[in-house]
Amino acid sequence: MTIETLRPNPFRLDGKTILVTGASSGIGHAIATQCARAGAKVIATGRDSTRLEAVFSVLEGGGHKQLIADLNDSAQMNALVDEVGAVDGVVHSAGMHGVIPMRMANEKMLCSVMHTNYNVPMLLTQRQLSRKLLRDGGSVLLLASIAALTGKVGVGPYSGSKAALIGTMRCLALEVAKRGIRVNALCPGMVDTPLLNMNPEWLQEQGKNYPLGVGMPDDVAHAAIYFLSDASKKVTGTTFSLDGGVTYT
Amino acid sequence: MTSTQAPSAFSLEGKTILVTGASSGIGRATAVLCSDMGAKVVLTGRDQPRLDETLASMFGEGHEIRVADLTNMVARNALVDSLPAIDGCAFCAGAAELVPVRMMSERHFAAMMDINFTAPVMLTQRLLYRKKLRDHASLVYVTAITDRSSPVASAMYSSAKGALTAFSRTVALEHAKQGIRSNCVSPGYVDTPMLTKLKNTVLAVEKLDLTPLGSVAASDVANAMVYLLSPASRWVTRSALVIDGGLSLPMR
Repeated sequence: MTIETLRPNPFRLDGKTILVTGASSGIGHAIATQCARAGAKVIATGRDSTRLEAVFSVLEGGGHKQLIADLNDSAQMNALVDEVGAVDGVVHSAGMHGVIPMRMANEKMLCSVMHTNYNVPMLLTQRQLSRKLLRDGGSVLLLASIAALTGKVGVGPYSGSKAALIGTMRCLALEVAKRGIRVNALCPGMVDTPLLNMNPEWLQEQGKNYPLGVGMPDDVAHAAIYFLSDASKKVTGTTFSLDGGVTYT
Repeated sequence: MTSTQAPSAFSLEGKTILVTGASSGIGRATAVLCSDMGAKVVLTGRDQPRLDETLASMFGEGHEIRVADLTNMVARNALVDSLPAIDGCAFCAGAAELVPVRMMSERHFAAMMDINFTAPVMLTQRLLYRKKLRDHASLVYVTAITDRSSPVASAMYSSAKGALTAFSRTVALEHAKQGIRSNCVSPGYVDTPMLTKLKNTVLAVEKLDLTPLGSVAASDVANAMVYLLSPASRWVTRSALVIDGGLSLPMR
């Protein structure tokens, strides 16, 4: 629907270039799709070329790019940042699950979860900042989780990695504020994505705890548009819960 | 402007939104942005001339002004009873007076609770009781980061906002089955007539310069209100969105 108004729509991303990691699946896929619909040039990155191509080929609008990279490999990550160039926003939606009771956890697993969920988004942002590839007024959006805020048996490594993002986010937000760059974290509850819907019955059962049911990837994508657009230009360092009102995880 | 194509999820086309405190500051900015996004707006406040000013800057047709003092039960109930069914309410009416605890009077206590807590709470009650909220309606309450930062001389204002935050979380649970959502927008210092008044009394102005992203405008808060009123936030309830330019980041 067209809104004939002299004032610009604050929820648009026209003229912005947005890097989306983990764009080949789930929440990242939805974010890339909705950012393109909102007018952004999207740079979609992921590891799986077939799935990334499937996402990329249907993005609305023009000027998008797809770049295959395994961000766990620092050489590939550095090359990606340099190839992407200057951006107005980055959404760190690449992540992995890390579910195991703590008495059975081991160093290899903890390092792997922390590396993918914490080190990679932080190191990618670090490189963008040190290379001056985040434009003034830009937006860094972290995908944390309700797991960072609540206790749940067996989710220790994942919860820790997501809570670590929030801890660093607050410091980073203060460090980059002078350039008008903001850093925020989304804390979604259970969303119907390939990370969780391998067992649909289990997901539906979990959904009964959610007053508004489990979320859809687009719910997170719409929040991402708010945080990437100029609508949120004075919002930084926040931890935003979107979880259908769940009281206990 | 370059593009007029709204992502449909943020559009308020076809929705009727009630905005309290629409005569100035955050309420005025929210009413204006709701109209830009396609809503029909019912503006309420105490001051007809200032509500007229808000209306004059709004987009589109079909908006209505209802002058009412929401701290008055009779006026509040009459307002609700006269309303059409609505798809959302932006609770923006509020007031702050700064008084140290040892100087507090019952009058100050009552004044802060009446406008900041009792009015939005009992307005919500009446809207629900009279079935004025359509399924999937969105309730958005303006609170304040003072509900956590609790600075000096703000005890009653902070307490009222804290109580309102708790209230909104219960409403979210009780009405989720109708898809009704309830959320808070929690600003720091916002450049509004209310802040100007505080600056002229006791507020330490140097605190404002500590805001890492610089001063926050009423329109910045209105953007969050509209996100939470729109279907884009379909799955968001019992939540709060802090808009303080980073002011609270170093706060414990």
